[in-house]
Amino acid sequence: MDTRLKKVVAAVLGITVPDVTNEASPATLKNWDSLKQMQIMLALEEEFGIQFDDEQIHELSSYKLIAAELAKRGITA
Amino acid sequence: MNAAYGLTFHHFGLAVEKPDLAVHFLTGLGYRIGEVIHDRYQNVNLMWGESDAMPAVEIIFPTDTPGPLDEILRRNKELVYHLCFVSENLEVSLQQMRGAGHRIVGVVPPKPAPLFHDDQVSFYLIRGFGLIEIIEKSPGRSIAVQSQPTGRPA
Repeated sequence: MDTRLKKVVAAVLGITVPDVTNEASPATLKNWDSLKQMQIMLALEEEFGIQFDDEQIHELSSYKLIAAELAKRGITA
Repeated sequence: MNAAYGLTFHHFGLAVEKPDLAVHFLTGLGYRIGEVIHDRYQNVNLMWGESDAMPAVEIIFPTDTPGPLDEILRRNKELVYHLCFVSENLEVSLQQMRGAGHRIVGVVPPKPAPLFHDDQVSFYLIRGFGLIEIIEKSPGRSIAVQSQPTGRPA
């Protein structure tokens, strides 16, 4: 899951996978803005065949929060 | 509503670092360009461009303080980054788009738009398409643009 998640985040943000650390968030990655947040979440929906609700689209705004939500849904790589 | 999803096209949103060269190019195309309007709700500056023969263009450029264009312009010096549509019923339009299978996420909730005399505008990201702006207007009323361009370009 980590690899797929990080690949998606990296692809949307236009950075390398190693740049997406476990601490990654809008606070640590300058280009992770509100629009990129939406794009990340929509890309994850496509990658994992899931759908987030509207609140989650806005609230899951860090690598850790997203990873925790995916784990809650039983999603593993 | 006759248009698909109840939407009719209104303008392109062109984001640029500085408006000068975009204004130069658009006036060369025959566009009439209005004065700069500061949108305090979105924290951007706007100039309206219209033409008798081509679609309207909203030139959007940053203010002196951090704003929503910063990241967009960091990666692209200039780009058409949204398409704007008008709806007479925002909720119905969104329902129709979602009903057709489109994944739509609200990016900016409805806020007054100074360029359009404070008509409500909102932004949505559509998966596989990109960012759209929707202006909501009452049936039968047209969208008035603040700082309407006057005269023809030299």
